[in-house]
Amino acid sequence: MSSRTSLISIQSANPTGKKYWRSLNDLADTAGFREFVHREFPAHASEMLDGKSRRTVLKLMAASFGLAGLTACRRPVEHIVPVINASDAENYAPGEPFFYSTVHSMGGHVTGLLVETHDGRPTKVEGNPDHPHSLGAATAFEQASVLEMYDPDRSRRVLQGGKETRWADFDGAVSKLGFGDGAGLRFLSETVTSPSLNDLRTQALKKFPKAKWVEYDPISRDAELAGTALAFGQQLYVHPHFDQASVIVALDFDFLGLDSPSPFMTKLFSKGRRVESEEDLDKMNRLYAIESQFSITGATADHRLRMKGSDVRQFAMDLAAALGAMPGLNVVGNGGADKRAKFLAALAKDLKSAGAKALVTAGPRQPAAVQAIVALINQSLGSACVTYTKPVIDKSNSGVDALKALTGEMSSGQVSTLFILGGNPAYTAPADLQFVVALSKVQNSIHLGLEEDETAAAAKWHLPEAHYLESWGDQATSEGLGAIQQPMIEPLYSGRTASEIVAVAIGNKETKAHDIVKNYWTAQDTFNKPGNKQDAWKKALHDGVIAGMKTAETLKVTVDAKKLATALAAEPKAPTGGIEVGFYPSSSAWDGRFANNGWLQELPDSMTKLTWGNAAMISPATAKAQNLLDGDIVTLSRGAVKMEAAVMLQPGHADDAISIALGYGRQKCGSVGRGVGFNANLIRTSDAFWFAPGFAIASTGKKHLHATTQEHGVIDSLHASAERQNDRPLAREGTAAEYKKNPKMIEEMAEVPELHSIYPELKYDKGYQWGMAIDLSSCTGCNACVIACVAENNTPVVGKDQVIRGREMHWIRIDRYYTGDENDPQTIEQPIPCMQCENAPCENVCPVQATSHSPEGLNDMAYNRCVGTRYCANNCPFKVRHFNFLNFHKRGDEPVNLTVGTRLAEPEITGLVYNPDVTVRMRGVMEKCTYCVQRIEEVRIHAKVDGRRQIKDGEIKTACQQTCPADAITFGNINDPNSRVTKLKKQERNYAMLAELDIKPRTTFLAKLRNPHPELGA
Amino acid sequence: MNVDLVKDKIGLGPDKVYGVMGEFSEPDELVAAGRKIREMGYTKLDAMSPFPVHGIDDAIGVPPSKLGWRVIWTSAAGALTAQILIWYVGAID
Amino acid sequence: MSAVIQDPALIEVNPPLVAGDPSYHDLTEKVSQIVEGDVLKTPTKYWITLSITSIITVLLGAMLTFLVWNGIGVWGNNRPIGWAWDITNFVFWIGIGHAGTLISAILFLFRQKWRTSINRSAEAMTLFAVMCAGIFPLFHTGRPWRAYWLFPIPNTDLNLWQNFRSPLIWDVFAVSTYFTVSALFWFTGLVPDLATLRDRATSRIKQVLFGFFSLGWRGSARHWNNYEKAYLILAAISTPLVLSVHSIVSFDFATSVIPGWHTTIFPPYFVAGAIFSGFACVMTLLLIARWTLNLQELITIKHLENMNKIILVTGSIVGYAYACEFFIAWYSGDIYERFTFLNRAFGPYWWAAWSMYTCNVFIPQLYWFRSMRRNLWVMFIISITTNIGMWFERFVIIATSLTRDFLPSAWGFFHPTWVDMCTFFGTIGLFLTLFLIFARFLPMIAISEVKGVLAVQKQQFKGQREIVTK
Repeated sequence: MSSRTSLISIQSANPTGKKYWRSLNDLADTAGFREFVHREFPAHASEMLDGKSRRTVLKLMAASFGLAGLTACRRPVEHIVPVINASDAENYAPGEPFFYSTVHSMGGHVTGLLVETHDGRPTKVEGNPDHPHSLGAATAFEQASVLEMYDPDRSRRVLQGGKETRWADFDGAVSKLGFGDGAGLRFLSETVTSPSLNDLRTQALKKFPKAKWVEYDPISRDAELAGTALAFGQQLYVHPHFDQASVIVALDFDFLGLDSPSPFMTKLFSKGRRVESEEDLDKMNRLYAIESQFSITGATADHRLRMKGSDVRQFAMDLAAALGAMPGLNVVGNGGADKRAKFLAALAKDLKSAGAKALVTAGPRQPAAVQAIVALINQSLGSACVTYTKPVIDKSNSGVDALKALTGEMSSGQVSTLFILGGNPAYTAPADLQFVVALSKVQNSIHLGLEEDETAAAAKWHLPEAHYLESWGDQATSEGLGAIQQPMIEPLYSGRTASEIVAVAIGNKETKAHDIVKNYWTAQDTFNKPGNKQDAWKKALHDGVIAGMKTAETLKVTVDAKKLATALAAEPKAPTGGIEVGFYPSSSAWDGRFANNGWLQELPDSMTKLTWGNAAMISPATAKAQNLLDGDIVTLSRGAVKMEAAVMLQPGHADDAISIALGYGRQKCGSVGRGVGFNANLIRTSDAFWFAPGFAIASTGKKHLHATTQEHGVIDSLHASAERQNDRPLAREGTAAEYKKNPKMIEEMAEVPELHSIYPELKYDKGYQWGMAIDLSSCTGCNACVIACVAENNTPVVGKDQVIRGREMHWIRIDRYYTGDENDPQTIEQPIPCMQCENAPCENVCPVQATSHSPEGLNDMAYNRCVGTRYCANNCPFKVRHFNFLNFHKRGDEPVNLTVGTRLAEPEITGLVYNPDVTVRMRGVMEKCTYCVQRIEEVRIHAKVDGRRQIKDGEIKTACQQTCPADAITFGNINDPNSRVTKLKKQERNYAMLAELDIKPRTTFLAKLRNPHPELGA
Repeated sequence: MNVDLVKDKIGLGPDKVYGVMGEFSEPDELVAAGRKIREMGYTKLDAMSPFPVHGIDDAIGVPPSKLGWRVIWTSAAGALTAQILIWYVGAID
Repeated sequence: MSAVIQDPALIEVNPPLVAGDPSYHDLTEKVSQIVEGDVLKTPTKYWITLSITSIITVLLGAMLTFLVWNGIGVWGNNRPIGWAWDITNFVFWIGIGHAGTLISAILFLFRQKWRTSINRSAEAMTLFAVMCAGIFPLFHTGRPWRAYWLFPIPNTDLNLWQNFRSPLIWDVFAVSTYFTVSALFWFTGLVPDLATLRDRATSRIKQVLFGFFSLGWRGSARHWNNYEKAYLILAAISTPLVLSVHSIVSFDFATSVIPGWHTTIFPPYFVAGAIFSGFACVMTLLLIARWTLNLQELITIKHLENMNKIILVTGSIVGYAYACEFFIAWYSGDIYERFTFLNRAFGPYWWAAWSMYTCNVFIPQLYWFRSMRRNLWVMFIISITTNIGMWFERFVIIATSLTRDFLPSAWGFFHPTWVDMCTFFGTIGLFLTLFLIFARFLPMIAISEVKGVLAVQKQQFKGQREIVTK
């Protein structure tokens, strides 16, 4: 049996597991524990782990040990297939991680993943290089989802009318219901991307012809479908090929950031952005961004035009007119010589010249009209960079209108049974739909969800949903490429999947997710090729994609310009005026589903650097006009809807507009996310789903303190600001043209005198010499690396209060600097890990040699030697050293109030997510980035074992590098002239920050290059 | 040798004096007195005073203190050990 | 002893250091009675003050316990401000600890007779100040229970030695040496007086205690001979220490790369500052002692005026250092350096910087006027403002330089917590408590030394007395 595809099948009742048990019994033989034994995993683990309960510390320790022990033997009963590492059940080595492929879906975007598991504990999520939508990268959300799986606040109980009951009771109840022709039967699910679930849906709708199945996601790809429907008369998925385009226009489309919760588009875009040679300078693509909220796409863009979300439509029309894409259409816009007009002219010219290599895209917030115009423009340009496919999974009944219809039926009492399969509509549904009220009219409302959330509270039944990392499933990309979702572990909290519930509802025999998925796929033609099905199945599990399956073919479709023109003319004029509020996905909570995820809550937003909350983003000019200050709490009201939110000044934001992130202000939520931020769903209505005009702002006089990691809005009498570089050559940039003319320009930005050290210069010329290069041109500031680092290095979550006190622990942070006019600035993002200086200022000030240099050039930390004088942190010019001011890893369920601020406690079970290869630091010690030294050592050991002498270039990947969707980070042996990192560092635009201090940083930066249109200038 | 004679010299016995003591109100008087007695040939002298009296030492013939040398040698030794430690710690171990 | 009639003109030129021409016995009485008085008969105001200061000391203990229990996070320190009040207080106290040895050693070597009546209390103050200082380096560490790793003790758990490149290690040795030598110096000076007290002692306990600590002192010429040599040597050793300790403390900052810390003038600048603050603190305490224990005859205006002169000089040196820093910052052309100093004076911490300039540079200039130098109230107030100013100096250098260094993205701001404040307040309590106990149970004034001075003085004025009496 080849080691690559061999199986492990350790039953959850294996001797090891039992043994763990006995030892536990002696330690803590309590009723709670007996039940714990009985259920294998406790419905009442929460109480058992409750720091406030009267159990002794010893027993608590026993409990955590028990959890660890049990999880260690909770590998799923069904066979799952690891991707790498020798792993026959017999020669399975404890401590050796396994990697399993799986797949994640969110808002209609699907990404294939690899999950690292240690002794049956999933610890880290990586991208699956074999999956076309991941190509080895994973977003912050996907990586943080592993913490979500362990979240002790996740739902663990079947509830009927708020009272706890058992799955058996539910199954019984459902079998009694009998839906007849399904007249009163409705299903409400999130966007379905699972072929097997879709198959069940068809079965259900066949069995109950009058039943309906509605899909609703508060953040989805519905606009794209509606747009294509308007343009081509059929719902299609749009596939922009950013890698092939030379001129790209993003109309309110943050495709590098939150409008594509998948690394896919960034991967493609960065291909056209990479500069490694002279030729690349000419091949570099050009990005134009038109948007309201300042997104990282706008920050990356060579040209950015800020305007209200509702003005984008007119801009699109004008662009179409300027390109002559739509007959009889003239440029309206406020003509003349203002920025918009110049921008439009240059853009049109640029697009024309690009022809087939031009690509215009519109974001999910833009209405069908804009999507259709964009399709028309691409068509008229003859763009070869966009293709269309038919959804493999029917989307005819999805979106906010479908939900509206459903709530209508519900409140008029036509719905007797409603299955809510995942999601939290009670919280995410538009305010005007009064979903909760409508829900109360449904006799049997059944909610399947990860949390006991707002919907759970409103529904008659609540069922705990199994997390995707602990259950079988499958997901297909928008092109229809399928992948199997493998569980890493038996469901921790006895949850079930949506497909299992549907199977029960329609009374299928097979109700186990594994059988449902396996039977569905092995019935497909792909698996019926010669050779046995088992092998094909194993291969599918192993690869993480279903090789050679037939995906949706790209359609040759055309837009009828005339028809579109009339359709557009027929559209009612959208109301304007007043302050316009736009709704955006949160970079932390997304639509609220990650509200209880500490890693994400503490992740600073790429642009605002805001953690633990959202804010009403507003441009400085508008703030002045409304005489508002940063942190003022205001009331936003429009007709019947109103909410309170704290104002935050966002340079570069469109005027007379407010942007606010969804997903905050959750009330029925775990202890982490409860009441964090302001709930924007209160003012989100179905008629103005993405941006709503005519809002009134009224200051409440109250103040709010934003927990930003980069001091915000402080411009003192020196006009110095933490948001700007204040003329310091730190994050350097130039235009491709300038750089081509004078490649020395980057180097010349800082004056480096002749440098001498008082100590004899150490030679680092033997063996491996590790170094890193970070390409600021590619980096979009998407934050994936930050979460990768948190997950890999067990860095603690400190909580809002400690962030406000400036004690966040992220080993890699992303600095964001504005340049130019504060109302319309340019932005540069710069990731800052430890620079691993060769002459490290931190090293010679440490009195106890807790930090010293390795022969391979690493600036090592001996945590157990550190006494915590903090001298090293003071003397670090980059301030990348982080001190454990409090015991941030202290276990507990509730935050601890120290009267001088609160420290977040870490739930017992969350300890299971730790990477066992990295020490968990106690309070009082300093910690910092170590170039993932544990990964270096792991590879070194494997190299030894294989009897190899040399470690291959690229064999070691740091966590941040591995997950970077833009491949901006390169790590390797700078002593090897042929290594990729050495080659990159040879570039003229390579520079060392603060080199004038003679610190010789090992991490260097490749200056950012922009590619502005000659007529617009930088 | 005649024991009585010896006794007589060192002044032991009922009708002999043990020593002579004088009190002076001012330091200079003390010094003057000290010098006189020394000239008379007495060697076993001492002077008690509540504060250091200038010139008393040579007046009654107190040899200069050897403290200085001891301190120099010990401190030199201390300094050397310290240097050796630093060198050993920094360069060897 | 007959009342002294002195020539006023001559007194104007060179007034006696011991006023009122007392006899040696009067001196012994004056000093000893403070020590010998029945403990129960000690004035209640003493007990009240002592209990207040003790309570504050207990507060210190509570704060430190709270700190060790929860971690440094209970202070306001953060990233980038790794050092704030902790090290500020350390440098502040160490600075105060300089006057003692300076007065004892350097003035002794320069044969400055006027030091005699103040050196004892100044030395005691030094010791107590260094004790207070020592608290901070120990407790500012994240893991105080590991602080012993700062000493070169071979440890088995991790086979690592100390890093002698680190100024913190230099600190450890400098401060501990300074403390040891100062303690020895102080004790050596005490021996003859302890003997005096032993001889006067009435109760058994006192006899035993004083007897033990006076090391069999008999005041023989041989004793005095060795004593004076020992005292001279200790003075010679302490003198370089006075300069080295604060130079080394200043290296903690001078050897770093942080703009505002990385400055070559720190050593002299810090030493001057230390003497400045030290003298101010001695001044405060002496004035209080002078009033409460009516020692006007021993601590004369002349003593105080001389000290004020030194305060004026050192204060001006410090002022020069400030100016110099700004000039160099501008002259260097280094953008980071320039920004740091502009930020110091006009940034968010402008108020700290300006209170430091005012207290340390502008106010002491009053001492150019003789009337000011001799005005008790003026000097009392200035001695207080000086120490406020010097505390701010350390805060400005340490904390505000850290708030805004190279990368604006990592800029921060420091807010002290009540734990910070109570801890500092607590050390003041500890200092005063120790000083009160000393003032009550040990001779505050070096009896033997003052007698020596008195002897010389008598010679000086003898002839003159005869003239007058004719």
